[in-house]
Amino acid sequence: MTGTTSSRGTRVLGALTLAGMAALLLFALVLSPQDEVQGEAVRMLYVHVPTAIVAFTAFFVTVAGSIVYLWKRSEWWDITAHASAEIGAVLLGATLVSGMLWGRVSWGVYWTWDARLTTTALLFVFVLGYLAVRRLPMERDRRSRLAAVVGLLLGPTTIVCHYATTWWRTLHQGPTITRLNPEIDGLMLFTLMLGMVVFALLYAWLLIHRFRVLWLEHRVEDLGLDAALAERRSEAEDGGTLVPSP
Amino acid sequence: MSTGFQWQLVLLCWGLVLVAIAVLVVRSVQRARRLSRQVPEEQRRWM
Repeated sequence: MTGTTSSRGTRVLGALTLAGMAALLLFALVLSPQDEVQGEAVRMLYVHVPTAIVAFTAFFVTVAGSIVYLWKRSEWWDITAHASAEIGAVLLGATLVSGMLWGRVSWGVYWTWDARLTTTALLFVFVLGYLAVRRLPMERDRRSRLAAVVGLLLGPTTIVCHYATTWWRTLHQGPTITRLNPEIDGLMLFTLMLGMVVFALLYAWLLIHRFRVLWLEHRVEDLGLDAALAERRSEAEDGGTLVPSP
Repeated sequence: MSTGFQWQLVLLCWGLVLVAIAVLVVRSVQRARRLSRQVPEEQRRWM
């Protein structure tokens, strides 16, 4: 197919993601029961937790890509790191918004400077900073090197954010599903797991497409550079014939 | 907290997340189309 970044594999992945998202909406908003304590607000769990976990995974991919880029100067890993951070930023934004709305029901406020919330906000600022570095008007290799160094910061920040509820006393709930015996209803647990799978599929689909878009951006940049060089050469040659040497 | 208010927040939450994802998807598709016109086909091997 011309003019798109799709291929047979991504179309299958996209169809699976769409079907999964429809099933997730059905389970999250209709079939799963309300919670004894939190009532209907528990339905935000099925978007809040999966987006958070997939965003954290996306940042680890960015860290891995940054390390490999700094080591091997591989364009493939550079673009993977960039694409993964873009998706992670959107998913972390979704985590923050869903968390704020859920917090309004659970705690009575949209925001409080709790350790988990603060570290998540800090992580969001870091990833926006990383994406800002990616837009700096400078030579591509220098920009990629700088972005890779900034990208490394996402690793420790993500770890601190993840363990914030364990290391500090927080309003935010601690780990529930990572326990060996999770205290959660069967259908709720199934819906949550479905959410993890669907958002992981979405991440994979978006990663491939964003990678290809960024790859095309690099090629257009190269073509523009080639054209500019050719123009300069042509100007220099013309100048050579027009201006006689002394 | 009333059930109606909880449902409002639940639907707002899901709606915002789905809209954010849709915007990312649509913008990616539009950008891919625009860039593909400028890049020779041999450099777009996934097609």
